[in-house]
Amino acid sequence: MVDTEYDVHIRRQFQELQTKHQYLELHNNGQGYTISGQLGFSSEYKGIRIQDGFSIFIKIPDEYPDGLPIAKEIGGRIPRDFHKSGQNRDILCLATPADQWIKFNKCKSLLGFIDNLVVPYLFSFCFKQKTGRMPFNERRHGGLGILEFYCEYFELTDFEAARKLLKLLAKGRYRREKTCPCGSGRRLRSCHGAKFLEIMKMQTTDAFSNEYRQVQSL
Amino acid sequence: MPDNNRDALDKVLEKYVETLSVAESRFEEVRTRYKSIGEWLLRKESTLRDRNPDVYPQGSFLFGTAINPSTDNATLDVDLVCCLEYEKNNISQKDLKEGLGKELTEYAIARNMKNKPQNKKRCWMMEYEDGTRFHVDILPAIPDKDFGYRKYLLEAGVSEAFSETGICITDGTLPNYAQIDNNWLRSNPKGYALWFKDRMKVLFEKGARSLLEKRLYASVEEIPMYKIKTPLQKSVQLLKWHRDVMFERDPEGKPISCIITTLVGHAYQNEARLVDALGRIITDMDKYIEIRGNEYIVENPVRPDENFADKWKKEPVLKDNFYGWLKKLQRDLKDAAEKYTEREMIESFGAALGKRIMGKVLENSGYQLKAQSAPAILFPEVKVSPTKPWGSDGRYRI
Repeated sequence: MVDTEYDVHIRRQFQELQTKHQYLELHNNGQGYTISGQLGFSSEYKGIRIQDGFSIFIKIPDEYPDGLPIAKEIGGRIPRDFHKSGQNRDILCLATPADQWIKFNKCKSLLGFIDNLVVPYLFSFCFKQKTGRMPFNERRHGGLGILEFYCEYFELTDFEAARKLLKLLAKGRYRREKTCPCGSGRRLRSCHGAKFLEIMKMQTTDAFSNEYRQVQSL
Repeated sequence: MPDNNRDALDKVLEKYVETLSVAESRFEEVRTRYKSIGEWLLRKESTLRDRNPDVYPQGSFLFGTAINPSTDNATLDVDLVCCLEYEKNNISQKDLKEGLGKELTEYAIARNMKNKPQNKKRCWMMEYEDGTRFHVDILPAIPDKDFGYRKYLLEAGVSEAFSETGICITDGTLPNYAQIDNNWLRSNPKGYALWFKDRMKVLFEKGARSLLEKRLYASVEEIPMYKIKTPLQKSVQLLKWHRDVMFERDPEGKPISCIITTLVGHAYQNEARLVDALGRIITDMDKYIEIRGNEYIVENPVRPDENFADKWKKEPVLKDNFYGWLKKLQRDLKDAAEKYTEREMIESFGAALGKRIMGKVLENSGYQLKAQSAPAILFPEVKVSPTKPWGSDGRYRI
């Protein structure tokens, strides 16, 4: 058996990642690729410099880059109640789903995933420990956090409007002549249309549906 | 190991072999050198002219398993045989040795060589310093015409093709060195080479096909063994290099090449890929060591009365060194096999083969070398983009 395009792709991306984060290693135990090792960083925000390192574990899904890796901190430093999910509450909740895709799509690579999502998360944790507050704020648990994201994205203050826009995204169709669900009375194309189209490209319709399911009952 | 890993490892191993092998041009150079000695012995004034001098390589330069020196100050050693038509009842070992020594000394003077040939226990050593440094050991010998011994070999199961090239050699430490008598040491480098070639026959002949098609040679027998590289030869090369590096500080204690070459030759089963050949060899090679009580025997395949491991009995540390080396080799290969990227494999196996060769292989594979003085950076500068972690339930307090 020869290397698939997928293998080559992962290995090339890992090599790029490793030139910067030299203590990470790529593994494949027959059940897909994982990355583990020490992830260190030195970053500054608002005059506060954090230099730290964490033992991390990344699982790369078979659908990558159409599916996002998941990240865990395995050194036991980050408590269960700091933005974690999963059965064992060990998966880092880096950002809400669509938010993760926006960050990931900026630089679709393992290095981009680490630097734009994992490091900011670890940085936020360190920053909070040091100063008592989150550097870039945070999202609430579950559907509320998702709505917070859409409000911010569409520049809305009304959760209900954000939920309606998400519902439309979950249907997977852009109907330009429809009245914008934000309540402005204008057509979608001349209201939130551009932003709508932009985020539509970020993740699959299924992923929007998943998000919508979480906000439906609120 | 997943198959794609095996492919990657195979490529890495091939790259190492290519880098540590003595270049083909060097083999040609050696050929020119020994032909020149042969011609000297056949010149009109030569005192050995009518003894049909036959100068030929033995050992790694004959089988095509020669490797470059693994350290900077090591030299390349070439072993030659000079066979002269004498019989044991008309010459002593001493006279044979000195007769050849005299001619070689004149040769060295005629060629303006810096040093005269040096008299060693069994051979003459000549140092070449033009261009690249190498040593040539020339072993004086006479054909072994002892038919009783030949009969013994046949009865012991050695094929006739291997046994008819036996020679008798001199040894300056023997009490009968200066006497004419029958007690000479035996050797059979040509027969051993034929055995080794037979062990890789399938792939050698496959490789020979293209050379024959190009009409570069008339027959397979004519093709020098170094012209074709089979996984067997490559395995021997890798193992010898690995050993040289491991025993760099204890060269006297290292497992000797003839033990390695023989065991590898036995274990090899015509695998076409280097990675498969090596995998088999490192698991199976020690099964060809015969253990009788506390005696370990690695039989010379063309001379069953010779035990290559005869020193292990008196110096058990040599036996321990062999097994320790084999264990380390198995571990080093396993470690490399568990890596996923080519670079990691090169670096992992390279740790056992030396930094210099690893650097070369990395460079030839297009990888940038990590600066040696700067340790890996644990805290690279990362510009954080504002990202809001999801899932606060307000419970987390510092």
